[in-house]
Order: sequence, then C-alpha cells, then structure tokens
Amino acid sequence: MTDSTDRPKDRPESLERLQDGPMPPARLEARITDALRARGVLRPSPRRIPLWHTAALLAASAGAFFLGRLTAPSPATDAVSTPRWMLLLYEDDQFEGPAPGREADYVAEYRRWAQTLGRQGALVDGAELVPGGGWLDSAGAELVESEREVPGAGRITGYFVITAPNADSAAAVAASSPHLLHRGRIAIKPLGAS
Amino acid sequence: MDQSDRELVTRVVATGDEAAFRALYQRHTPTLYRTAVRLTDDRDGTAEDFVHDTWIRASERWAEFEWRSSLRTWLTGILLNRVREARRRWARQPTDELVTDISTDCPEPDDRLDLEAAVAKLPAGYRSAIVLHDVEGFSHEEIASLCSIDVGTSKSQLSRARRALRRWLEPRWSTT
Repeated sequence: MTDSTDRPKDRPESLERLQDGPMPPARLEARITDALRARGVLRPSPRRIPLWHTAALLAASAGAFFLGRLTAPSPATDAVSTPRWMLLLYEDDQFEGPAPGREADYVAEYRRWAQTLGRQGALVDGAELVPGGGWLDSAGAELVESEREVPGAGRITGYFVITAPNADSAAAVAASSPHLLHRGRIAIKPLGAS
Repeated sequence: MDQSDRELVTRVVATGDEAAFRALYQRHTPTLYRTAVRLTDDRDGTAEDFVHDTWIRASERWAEFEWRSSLRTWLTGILLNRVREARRRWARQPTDELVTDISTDCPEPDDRLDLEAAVAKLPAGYRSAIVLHDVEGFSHEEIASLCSIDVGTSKSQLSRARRALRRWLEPRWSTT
C-alpha cells in the first residue's frame, strides 16, 4: 500500500508545488453530505426542516432559480423535432429540505443541474413555483388554494421543460436531478405540439 | 491523534457518522478535485460533479473495498473511471492511452506558458502521468493500476511528458 508516507521522491519541485493548486469550492462539502444524507448513508440531522418552511427565502432567490430563462442557451437546433417533456417536481412530507443556513446550497445545486442541461441543449425552460395559486375542482371554476395542491401527491414546487428523444431518456434526465436525492418526486409528462 | 482512514470509514458504515465522513472528505477531496480539474480542464465546470459522483459511488461500494490499496488510491480510481466516462462522451482521448505523437497537440517550444498551462496542454496520457505522479505523488505501480497500463508505460509517459514540459519551459524548469 502506498500513501502519503512513501510517495515518490523524484518529483520535480516545480510540479510538486502545483499541489497548492485549485481547491474544491466550499459548497461542495454540503452538496455531498446532503446527498449522502438523502441516500441514508449519513445519519440525518434532527435539525433539518422541510423545504416549504424556507419557501420565503427560496422565493427571494427565485431570480436565480429561473434557470431556463437565465442560464439555458437556446434549445438545441433540433429541439423542434425532438420530443419535449415536462418534469413536475413534487415535495411531500418525505422531502428533505435544506438544513438551516444551507438554503442557498440547494438553490445552487438545482441551478447547477439545470445549467448542465442547458449546456447540453436539453433544457427549454424551468422555474420554481412559489407558494400561492391553487387548483380547480370539478364543481366549478373556483380557484381553491391549498398547501397540498394535488391531494395525495404533495406540492408542485418547480418544473422543467426538457428535450429528450424518448421516455427512457427523459427519465434518465429526471433521475439525474438533485430533487430525487432529496426524496422529492418527479412527474414526467410528454408535451404535445404547441 | 488523527484517526486512520479505515477507522473513519468503519464509523461511517456502522453508524452513518457524519463527522467521520467530513474528516474523510477534508482529507481526500483536495487531491480528487485538483486531479479532476487538471485532467478535464474543468470542462463544463464538471470537476465538482466528478468529485461529487466519486464520493457517492464510494459510499455505495465501501463493502467492496478490501484495503489492498490506500483509500486515496481507491477514490482516485473511482474518479478516473468517471473522467473516462466523460471523455468517451466528449469523444476525446482516453486517460490511459499511450500517446506517441504530441507534435500536433502541443504548443511550439517558444510559446510562453506557465507550468499550469503547459500541463493543461499535454495530451491525455502524458497529463495523467504528470498529474498523478509529479503533482499528487502516486507511484508508478499505483498509476499503472489506476490507468490500466503497465508500469513501463507509466514511466515512459512520465518521461516524455517531463521532456515536453522541459522543452517548453526552459529555463524555468526545476528538477530539484
């Protein structure tokens, strides 16, 4: 076994000094520990609170969260012919929101994911859905405000419109979202021609 | 006294001890991150994602790790696999490929380059050898295992990489 005690001795000093090089961003530790908590690898902190408790703070960050509009390049040139999919992000009681003080990390995590999609030309649009609004029941066209906008399914707190050649590809994109790491759920629905 | 990697991993696996994981993270992530940045040019800002994925994958495989290598080497192996996957996606040269002709990829000898930029311009195989051996201190045996090449190839790539850097960077090159 080789470790720090028996490293090669013939390293040029100038190259060895590059060990002072780029350091991981501070946010990365929180990102990884959050993901490992969500997977049950690390013991969840009892101080963690549901995301909707921090909705106001996140709403304040909504400008940064409007990912598609701010960060995505124009959809891929073949976007017109590539099927589009709506990803609806749900949160219920199982959702593990950010620990106090870590809200910005969550926003950055989702933003980073969306930016990756954007660079791949697979992101059409996306936004956080802030509290408010409601749903219409079959009795009439009256807006019914509710914290649980879809009974039994939790709140819809965001959406993305992506391009993907088929349902499996769309599901693969959705599966890469940090939302699932935080035990949220994602509905994947094909969009018809507009 | 610092706890060993093995003690910390045992605590993480047994009890989900977050403090133990953070100790491991702080001990090994700088190497992983530097390596990811230097082997990929942080293309698309993905070095951070590679390190993230490395820890996630490691956490899924603790049981498979038999401590026949150092934890650092094992983690770096996971990272390099992730980099190779990305390179295949980017349709670029794989990390472990032996490069014999660098004339088209490398700058002219009189280009003004600092060391970091010069390393970044090395072809993939040479760059892996320089970054893993000379920067991060892995042995040729470890590099051979990490890159699925033999020890002789690792030494050869390192020698050629150093020669290229020396040619570009003289007289600033230090070998002491």
